[in-house]
Amino acid sequence: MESELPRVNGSIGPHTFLLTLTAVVGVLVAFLSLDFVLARIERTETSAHAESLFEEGTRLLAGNHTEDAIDRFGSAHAMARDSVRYTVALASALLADRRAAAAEEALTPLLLSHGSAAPVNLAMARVMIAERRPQDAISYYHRAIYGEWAGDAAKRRDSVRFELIELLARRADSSALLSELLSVDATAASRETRLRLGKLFLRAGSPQRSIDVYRAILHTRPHDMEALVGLQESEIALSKARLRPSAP
Amino acid sequence: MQVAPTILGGRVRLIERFAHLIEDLRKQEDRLSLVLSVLIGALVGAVVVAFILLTGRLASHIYPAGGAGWRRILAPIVGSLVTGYLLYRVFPDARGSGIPQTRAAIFIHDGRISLRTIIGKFVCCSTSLASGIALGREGPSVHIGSGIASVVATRLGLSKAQVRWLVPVGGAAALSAAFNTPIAAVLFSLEEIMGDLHAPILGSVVLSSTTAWMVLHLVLGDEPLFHVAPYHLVNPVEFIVYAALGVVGGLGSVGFVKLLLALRQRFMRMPKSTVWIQPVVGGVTVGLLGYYVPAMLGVGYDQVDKVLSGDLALRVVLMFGLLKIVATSVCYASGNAGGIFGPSMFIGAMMGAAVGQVAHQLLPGSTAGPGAYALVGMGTAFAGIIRTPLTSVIMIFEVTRDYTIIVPLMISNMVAFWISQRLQRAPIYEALAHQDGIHLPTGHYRAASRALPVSTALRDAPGILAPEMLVQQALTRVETSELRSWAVSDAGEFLGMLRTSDLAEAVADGDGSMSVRELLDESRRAAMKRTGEFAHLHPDQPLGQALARMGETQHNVLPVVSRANVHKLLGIVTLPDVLRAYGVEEQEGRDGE
Repeated sequence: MESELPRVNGSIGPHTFLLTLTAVVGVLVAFLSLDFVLARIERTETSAHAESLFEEGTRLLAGNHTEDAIDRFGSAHAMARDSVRYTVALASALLADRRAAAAEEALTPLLLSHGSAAPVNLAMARVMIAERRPQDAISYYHRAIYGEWAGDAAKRRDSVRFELIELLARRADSSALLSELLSVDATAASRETRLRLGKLFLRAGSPQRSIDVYRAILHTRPHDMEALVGLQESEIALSKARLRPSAP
Repeated sequence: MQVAPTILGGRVRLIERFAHLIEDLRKQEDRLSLVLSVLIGALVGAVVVAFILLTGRLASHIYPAGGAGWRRILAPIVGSLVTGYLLYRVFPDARGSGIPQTRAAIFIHDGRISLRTIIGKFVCCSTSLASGIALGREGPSVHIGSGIASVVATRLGLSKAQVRWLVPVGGAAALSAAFNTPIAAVLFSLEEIMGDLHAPILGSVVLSSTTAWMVLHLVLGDEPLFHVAPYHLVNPVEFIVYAALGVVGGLGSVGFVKLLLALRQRFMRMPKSTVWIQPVVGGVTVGLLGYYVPAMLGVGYDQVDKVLSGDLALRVVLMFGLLKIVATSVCYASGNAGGIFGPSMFIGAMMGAAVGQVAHQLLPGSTAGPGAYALVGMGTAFAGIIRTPLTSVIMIFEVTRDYTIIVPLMISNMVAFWISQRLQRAPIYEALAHQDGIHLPTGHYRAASRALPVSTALRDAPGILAPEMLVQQALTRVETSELRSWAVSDAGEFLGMLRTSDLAEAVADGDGSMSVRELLDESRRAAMKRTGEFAHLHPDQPLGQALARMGETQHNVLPVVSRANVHKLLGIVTLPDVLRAYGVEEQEGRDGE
């Protein structure tokens, strides 16, 4: 029956037909141009509005007005659903308001489109902790560590790794903790980080590594009191370990 | 020195080849159909996207962020006043939703929609929707798209039948761009506009819908109209809750449709001189509601987005749903430009969320959150109000892109559709057309009418009675005739039919001095009680319908009236004429021999 469709009845000549067709194409081009201009204006205004809402939300969250902050972040997120910043801010605010399920719902679509974005994975890891799903949290922490960071990636990765280490230490998961600590040990340079490492090696049940870390600090700073105290604690722990009867 | 003539010759040959190509295109209908479907799809897509964006820009200027509350009262009033005047004076055919007008264009006006109507629809709807009038953009978009197809086809010199075929092609493209649902747009075009899922324009409709959708994505990107969380059926007990949602949705839909039609009937009874100012009633209603509840302004898709996320409390969704029913009914009934497609979605989402919240409170472990019910509720209200169950299922499926929602949707939709059919005989667009005196054909009967139409047995009405004539005079005039029913007409306006026996009975009862009009009124009242409307036929109805209707009404003569105006008498059909059309009389003659 498609053959019943348009059939020129001959009421207009070929020139008029061609002119009309050209005019239709011209109108189409004009409207498409208008569409692109309007869409660009719309996008610019929307992103500016979303940014101002995000800033307002950040201020409100800093002032502990969590409910209002969620509202602003939610509106910014609705305007730019692909924005990692807005979604993570919304999820963090929801989490601060003890609404972990809602935070997870906000983050899930973004993880599908931005699976390698480290901030999204980090936010999701925190949500998982709130939902008492530590195994999932560890997985998201790892994705955050090896994911893409904008800006100072090394510093952020270390910070995330320590967050993960804290979780592992709380769970008393010594082998996993030791494995993470060894990763940090290879790159940690600052005194603070190394002091922290020393304490954590001790908690992970590896006093010898803790001693090595403190000795390295004392090598450059012989009178560092914190390192000296840490070294003493580690040596006592090591002695106790040696005195403990070994398994048959 | 031979280079210039060679280039010139090459160009001439190129132009000649192009001219041949165009000439071939004109002559080969299949190719032309293909090209026009794509061209109309792209043009309609571009115009509808401009319509959406311009309306949005206008709205953002009328309601700037942090704007004063008085704007919410003043803007709808001014908007409805301006558009009311324009619709009355300049664009009378651009009033209302656009769907019944598109159907009327296809089935009555040979697919003709004027350029003025398209411009009027664009300008008036954009202004009224931006000002906050609680109506939708989809119906007007369909009218604009259909109008563009009609104008392009007419200007290209296509025949009436061909123009008529292209109108739904434009409508589908418009809905595809306006609602971002290309498959549902195809189905809507066939199910609602054409009233026939087997219409032979399927290929062209699919092409135009797809092209328009591509234009939408090219300009605005892959942004869905609503953002919904993945759907999950928590427990099979939810099927019962979805059926309950169907009951609520069906009853709510009927309530909305009846309120809208009743209000519109009242506005239509008002003096014609008030038509231009009637839309202001809608503007004032929305303004006052919008002052206290800003969510009532406009179609309210942002609120739908919120309720789909399950962010609104039970009392809020109940209030939004009820207020929207009132706001949309008053806005539409008072004659504002805009559709009911979008508001139906809003009302459905609120009804669904309400049912979902109650269910979740009663059975927290066995039911999903209210967002899932809001989603199904949208389709349910659409099935109940617009009465296109298949389109509504596919539409929600396209919005969610989630297959698992299909079964709950089907349960809920079918329940709502069934209830709506039982309690409100005519679907809303058909009822609106009826109020305008336009009788559009249904899909069921068009399939039957492909056999033998009433027009084959049509004859001029002899001896029309004037309403001022006395019954005694009328009886004297008609009693010797073989015909047993007579048309009563006042200055070209057909009023109804009177039987010779009615006239004779009235005279026998001593009412011979009564006027024909009085007797007709009595007779019509009795007939209306029996059948709900006065008996008539349209020329394109199946002849079998004439026989059935003669049996129902005990008239052996029935009036044939125009679909565009039921008070325009085109002729009559008598029982012998019908039998003759079927060849029964000739058969009897041969038997006699």
